[in-house]
Amino acid sequence: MANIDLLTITPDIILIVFAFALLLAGAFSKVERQANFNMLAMLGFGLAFLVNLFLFGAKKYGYYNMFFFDEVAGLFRFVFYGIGILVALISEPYICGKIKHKGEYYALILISVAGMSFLATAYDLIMLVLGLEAMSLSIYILAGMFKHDEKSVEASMKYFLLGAFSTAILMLGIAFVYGALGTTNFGEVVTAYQKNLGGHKPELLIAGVVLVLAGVLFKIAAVPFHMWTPDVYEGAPSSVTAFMISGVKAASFVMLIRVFVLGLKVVVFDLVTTVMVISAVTMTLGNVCALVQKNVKRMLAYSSIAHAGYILVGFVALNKTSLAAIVFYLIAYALMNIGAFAVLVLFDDRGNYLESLSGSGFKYPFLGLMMTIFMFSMVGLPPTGGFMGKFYIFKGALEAGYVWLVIIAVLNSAVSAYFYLRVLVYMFFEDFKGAVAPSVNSTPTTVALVLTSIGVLYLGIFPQAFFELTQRCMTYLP
Amino acid sequence: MLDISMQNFFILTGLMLFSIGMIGFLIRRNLIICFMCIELMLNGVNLVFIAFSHYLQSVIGFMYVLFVMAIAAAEVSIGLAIILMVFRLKASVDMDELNTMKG
Repeated sequence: MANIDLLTITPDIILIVFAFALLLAGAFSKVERQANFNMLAMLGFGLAFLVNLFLFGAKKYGYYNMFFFDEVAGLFRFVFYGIGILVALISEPYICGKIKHKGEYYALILISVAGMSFLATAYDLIMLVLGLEAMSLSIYILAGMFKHDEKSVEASMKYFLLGAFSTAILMLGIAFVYGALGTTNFGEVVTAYQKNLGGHKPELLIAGVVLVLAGVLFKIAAVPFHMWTPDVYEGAPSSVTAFMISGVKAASFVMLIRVFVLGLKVVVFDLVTTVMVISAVTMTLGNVCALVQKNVKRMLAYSSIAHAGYILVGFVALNKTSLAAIVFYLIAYALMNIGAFAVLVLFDDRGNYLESLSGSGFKYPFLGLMMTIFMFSMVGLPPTGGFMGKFYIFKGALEAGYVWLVIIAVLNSAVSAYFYLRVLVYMFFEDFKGAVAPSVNSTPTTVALVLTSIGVLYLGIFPQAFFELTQRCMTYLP
Repeated sequence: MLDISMQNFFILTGLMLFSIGMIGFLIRRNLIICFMCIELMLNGVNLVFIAFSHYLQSVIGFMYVLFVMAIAAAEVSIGLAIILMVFRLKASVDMDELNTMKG
């Protein structure tokens, strides 16, 4: 077991090699020759995806039990690399002409995805923090990629300060857990708990676990720690927001599952009540705040808070159905968000306000249709992936007996219909004012739109096979 | 369990550093000071790690300190770059200037 297993992390090595290659290429090539950098980044993601396909299904420990590659890690790696490919697709038309050094942009996305992938395979709290930092530090920079745009810089600064603050709190939590148990390796927690503590939980351990939970909930953007979300998501470049809203969310939920269901499982049932309250408050606040937003990006940011609340319901229920449903929901959520942002990206930030989207649905029927699919999916209307995701999450929660939480969640998604469908009302039932026009070179974004919409519809119409796959992969709970 | 006074002293010092950093982060409005407070928090964590490591007679804690220091160094480089970016745009490092987005 104790060995250095390079094969397990080959996909991440590929990503990092491509990142450095892109950095070098960006430094030594002219701006006009950087147009195909997104292809290079996609090649990296594609290779990593293929290698992961080859590795998938094995259970392997690596680096002296620092890594544990299992089906959950493999599944989430697919999600991250897929998100990477889609984001690389939608980025090129958007950042073209706005960012001088495209090599840096794609390199940071690659490193960030490598960090997410480390998060998904980590088997030790310190490894988890390293993955988290590799992910976050890249994203702090990515958020401020438009150096001359006040909003972008402000988003970067706010995200950095609060993110670093939350990391410090997470580290203190890890220090406490280490002090109480004498180890932070997920494989040794149970034995250490029995041997060192004799089966009872001192305050130190509980305090540490609460601090770690706070750090994780910050990344998830659950309610007491959600303050940064709207500003950061609104200010960051739209392609980066699409990346954050899908990738970071998925990464933080895999962190939640790995830490509390696989790692510190001795304390997980003490947390359920807390997380239940947080989940109910999170979805309510997210939906209520989203009701009054005029900016589509900001509305989607609040909606991401609400969606975090729905996904936390799956964590509260803590059974096999609900954990599988979390993965299913995260994938559907990533697809619909990247799709919705692809439309905004295609309008080149001119369609960020609801009024400026007026009439664009009939003027550009393809984009109108796409936006309709994604908004329906966000509300949770059949036949879309969003509907099936919510269905499975609520099914898991009902199996575990959390009827009230499900009622709150269903009422919330009824409220959310108002602000999602309002986007469509503006797009289809107002007169076109000529405020928006798709950017010129839009082929990659169109490809991404087609892929995401097919994904959302596929998950909505034939969910069974995929849900069974996620259920088979969720081996942490019986 | 933690009844040995010396260890308690070191852990308390670490926690105190952490709290000073946290309070400073919450009440100061200057970006550089806030940033230094985060470093102070991380150093408090380091001290707690070392104290626990000594108390538990395990070397893992010392290793963690190295990792935390590396993370802190990475954060410094990125944080200062971002603060510089803010300063170039706004000619100020006051947190209250960062008020473009509301709602």
